[in-house]
Amino acid sequence: MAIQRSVPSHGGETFVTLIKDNDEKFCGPASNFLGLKCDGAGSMKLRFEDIDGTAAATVVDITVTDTGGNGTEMKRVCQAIANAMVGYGIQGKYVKIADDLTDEFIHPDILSVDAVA
Amino acid sequence: MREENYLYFAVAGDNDADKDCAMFPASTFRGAVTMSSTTTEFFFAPQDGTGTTANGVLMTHAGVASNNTDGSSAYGSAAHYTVMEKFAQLASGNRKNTNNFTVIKDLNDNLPTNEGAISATGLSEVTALTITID
Repeated sequence: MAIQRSVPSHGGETFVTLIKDNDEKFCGPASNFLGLKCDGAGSMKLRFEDIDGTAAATVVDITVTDTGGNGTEMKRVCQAIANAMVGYGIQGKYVKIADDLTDEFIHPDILSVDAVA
Repeated sequence: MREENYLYFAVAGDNDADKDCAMFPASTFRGAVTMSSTTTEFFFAPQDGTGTTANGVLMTHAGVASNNTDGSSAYGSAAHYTVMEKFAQLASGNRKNTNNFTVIKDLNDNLPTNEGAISATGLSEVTALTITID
């Protein structure tokens, strides 16, 4: 009899992480990403399905470069986030989009994580 | 896991005001509806997670009667169909060897040139956008 392979709930899923500080961190599957929007000059809001299962969203505010005042960097960051969400074609990816604690960011135009709520 | 495709929209501006740009996973697309002879709205699952009021991107294009040059639509000369068809092609997750960041329409006129997706402006038929996110 064939043995059924066990499949984790998010097999092959990419997990993304955004960290503001020791008290405000987010980690969740990329498939829970609801989208993002511009929230003003150099300001973006990323939204994920709420981790407590309620009908709401976890909102992460980030600041990006706006050197020329024309929003090009925001578009670059959108592309970087889209690319990061896919991972790298192997299982169990964990991608840190932004970490203010360690100053690690997937794109140089991401400057900070301002809120995780 | 199926690879997600992320759809980018930006209004005519500099990404310096609320909802000047937005990005949605293609899997959250709910459908498109013709709103008038010159507008079509594309709806997505709401970013607020409530699943109630859909988010929308209203696209303005040529009127039904005036677009008779684009032969790409199987439905003839209606710009609605052309825009919907091209959106469907871009949003498809079955495209090989393409970036998963897809510009549906970017009306920002300050984009750098020759930088791939960053320079892409998307559907040429679309002349204006209104992004609605609650």
